Amino acid sequence: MDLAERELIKRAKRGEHAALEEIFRLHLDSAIRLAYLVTRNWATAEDAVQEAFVQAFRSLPSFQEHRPFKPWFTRIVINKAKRTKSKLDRGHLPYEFEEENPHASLNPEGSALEREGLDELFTAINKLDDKHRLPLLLKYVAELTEAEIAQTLRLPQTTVKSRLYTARQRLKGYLTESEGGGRDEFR
Amino acid sequence: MNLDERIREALRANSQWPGSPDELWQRISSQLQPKPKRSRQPLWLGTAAAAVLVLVFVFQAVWNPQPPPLPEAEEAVPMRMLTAVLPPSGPQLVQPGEVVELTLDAHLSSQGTPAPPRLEIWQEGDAEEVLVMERGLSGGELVETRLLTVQAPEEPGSYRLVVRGTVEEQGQLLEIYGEKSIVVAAAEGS
Repeated sequence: MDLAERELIKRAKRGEHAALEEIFRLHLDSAIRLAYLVTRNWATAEDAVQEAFVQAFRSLPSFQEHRPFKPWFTRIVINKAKRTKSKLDRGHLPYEFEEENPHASLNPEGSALEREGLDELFTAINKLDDKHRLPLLLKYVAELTEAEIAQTLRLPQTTVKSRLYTARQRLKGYLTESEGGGRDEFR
Repeated sequence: MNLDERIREALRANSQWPGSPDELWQRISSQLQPKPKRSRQPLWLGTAAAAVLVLVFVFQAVWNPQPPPLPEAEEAVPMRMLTAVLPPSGPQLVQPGEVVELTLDAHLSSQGTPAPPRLEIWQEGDAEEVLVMERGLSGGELVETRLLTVQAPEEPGSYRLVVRGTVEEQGQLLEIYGEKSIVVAAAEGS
């Protein structure tokens, strides 16, 4: 945690509303995207992120400043998102699951071919099982290091390294097969 | 584009949040506002008041115990039952010459000296009593009935009728005694 963030956490712990808002805006993007990629529903993701921020801010007084904030907060987000998704899967929440991303096909910069390739890769990522998909999301969405991912998922760093490697290999294999003829299942 | 960039881009392109950060912050911020605490004072005061009342009762019971409740008074025996047995306590108002009954008490004589029974009629004067009549009585009659009938004097006034003496009954000497106060009313028309 750099000095600026440590100072920000100190201010937030003193109850400064502006500091809390600054932390929110700093971590919102990765938190909401991560939650969405876990739950596949924006409304559910928003609820999970809202609960995560509220819980994190209320727990700030007991947060140790020498620890990095992002892995701690990301763990809260993941837990909230998983719990909400679990409720959703059991039919406790009246949300539609796996809604289409309204922005997914509106990228004006990418060509149609590129767009198609990214969508296929995204489909491949979603076909990974959770133990390989989550480290991938934490690396590429939350931008955590392997050490931070290990801290967040409470796994040995070697395990994280191994799972990331396996995930990438599977995606690579998918892309190779996709270019050469199509493969549907991926574990 | 290498694999890392493609993965990152695929995830970014498929997770563009359509929502508003400001709205979400408003929701979070409103949840972080300290909720107005329910005033506990009335509950606290109520509890304290109840505790004080209990203490007051306890101390009152310890330091100033209540006397045990009095047993309910038994219903008084009607006086008419006694009056049927006992002679009237006050002087009996009688007419001149009226027959008056005198109840006698008899018990074993402690002196052992026989004394013939007699009736004495004492008139109560202003200063002293005056014996106005005295006559002997038949012992057998007294022993049998324990009752003596006496004719009241003719002269109006207050009198005391006294019967005393001893009688023999089944070989035992009994001492008899009876006393009654009467008031002889003035004759009508006098």
